Amino acid sequence: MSITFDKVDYIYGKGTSFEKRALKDISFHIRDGEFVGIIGHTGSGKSTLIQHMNGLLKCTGGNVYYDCKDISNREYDRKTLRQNVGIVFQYPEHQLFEATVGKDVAFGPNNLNIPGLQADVRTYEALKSVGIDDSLLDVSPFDLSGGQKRRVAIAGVLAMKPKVLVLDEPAAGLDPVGRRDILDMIARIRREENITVILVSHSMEDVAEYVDRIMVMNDGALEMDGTVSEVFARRKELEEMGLSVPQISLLMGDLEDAGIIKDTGIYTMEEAVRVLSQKLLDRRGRNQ
Amino acid sequence: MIRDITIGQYYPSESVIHRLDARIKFIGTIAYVIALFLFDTFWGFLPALVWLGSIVVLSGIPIGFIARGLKPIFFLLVFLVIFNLFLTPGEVIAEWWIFKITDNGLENAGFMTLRLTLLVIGSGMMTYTTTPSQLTTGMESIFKPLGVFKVPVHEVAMMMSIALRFIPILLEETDKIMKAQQARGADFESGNIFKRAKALIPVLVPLFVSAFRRAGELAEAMEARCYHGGKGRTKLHPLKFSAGDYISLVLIIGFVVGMGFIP
Ligand SMILES: Nc1ncnc2c1ncn2[C@@H]1O[C@H](COP(=O)(O)OP(=O)(O)O)[C@@H](O)[C@H]1O
Ligand SMILES: [Mg+2]
Repeated sequence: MSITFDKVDYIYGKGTSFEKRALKDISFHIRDGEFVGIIGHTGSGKSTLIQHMNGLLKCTGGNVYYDCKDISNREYDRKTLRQNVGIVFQYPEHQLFEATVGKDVAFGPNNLNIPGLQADVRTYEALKSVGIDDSLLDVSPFDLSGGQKRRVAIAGVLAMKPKVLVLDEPAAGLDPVGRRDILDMIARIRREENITVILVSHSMEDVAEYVDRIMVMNDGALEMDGTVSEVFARRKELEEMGLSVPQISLLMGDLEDAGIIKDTGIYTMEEAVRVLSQKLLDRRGRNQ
Repeated sequence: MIRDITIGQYYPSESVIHRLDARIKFIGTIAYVIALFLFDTFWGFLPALVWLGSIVVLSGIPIGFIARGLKPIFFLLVFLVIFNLFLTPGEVIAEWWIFKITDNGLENAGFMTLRLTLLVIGSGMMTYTTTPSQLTTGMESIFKPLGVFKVPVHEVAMMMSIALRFIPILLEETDKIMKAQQARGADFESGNIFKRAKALIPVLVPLFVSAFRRAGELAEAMEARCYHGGKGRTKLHPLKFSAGDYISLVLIIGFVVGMGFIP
């Protein structure tokens, strides 16, 4: 499913003294199967933006289209939209409520009126893909560890078999190893299921390695939209927005400013090592 | 939607009324409410209106904000008017089909509406100009003498301020959980009453879990900072009467006594 936002505006508390324009004229297009990162400072409007993707919030201006169909249209099937676009909210473990892990994951499929056996299969598969062992199927979700709870909650969305998976800060509040595990898991699920994934984060470092494209939000506006290297090449602007750039990008940027290298937008260690060693080799060659 | 209701909300500002001692505002509000019931002729509304009007002007709160505070009682007002207008016996002054408007009915309807409106706006003014924490500190101080009769005044005040603090947090939390469950296909809007009640389970369970978690965390944080009840506890902002507070107190007494003399 391709997603198109056309001049989307959203105002919280319209017409009250608490009016807050949280999205300003946002336009973009996401093709089928893309892996997109949405980055922005806390309060920049990321969570507000993604709630427009399955119609939980209705834009106060502009339009949202899936496969060129306007979702604000009366005939548009909301239920199918919610099934096709799975949103994992921030701290999804706070939404667990059932007596057992299995029942909680099956909540989504049950709401879609999927027959029992098929719902069981989906539950089983979803738990497998987030790395939760079957032995935990009948355990209360409240007895699990924090990381396990989060995986179960993600499985609850995966069991709906979404075509677009949106995750709001999936690594928030986890230790470095936990963060990496969750992000690796998401990248793997994307490969296996071949779905569109939209990863929201306030940390560049988390996202840069995984996604193909980055959208940068600042104060409700979409400031940048491009490949990872295109975005990181504008590191000065990023820093002005209070976003941290991966350290290796900072180093390469400084070398570039000093006139030592020309390449811009390097953000992985491997790439940096390749460019720098080439530079050293060149220099040695010239000296001899 | 919930944010539309302004009654009970604080309206941040630096006005004279905002700076008054919370105890004065509390006593003033109680006195005002009593005074509103002291008179039974239309003349009584004049001083009450002047009194309330000056407070509103001094507080600098926009009329629109105050008017929205009346929203929740709007239907109650409409009902009161209708019932009083048509069901009060007396001399008929207008008649149409089976409806009869009597002079007493008209008077009653006007009286009730004015009184209730003044009551709601007046008590609203206290919450608009006083933060919940000032209010509970003030009430704790007013009711302190009850401690002699073993009433746990401090504890009740503390519970009140925590409860007030948690209301917006829990409302926000409810909104978040509802959205998360809707994203998993939950439907809160269709079906009969039993179905709807059942649909709330996926919201209520996480809400309770989170309320208990927050309560536990708060209790731990309080203990970690040596909270041990009210005994020997000092205040960051001790309540102290200023000249303005004494003047207000005199004005309040004058107002109530004056209202008592209205025929
Ligand atoms: N339910 C709400 N009511 C009013 N304002 C809100 C609400 N949710 C978010 N906002 C405001 O909208 C802005 C964007 O918030 P959000 O989308 O949560 O940002 P992010 O997810 O990037 O941190 C913030 O200024 C926030 O205060
Ligand atoms: Mg957010």
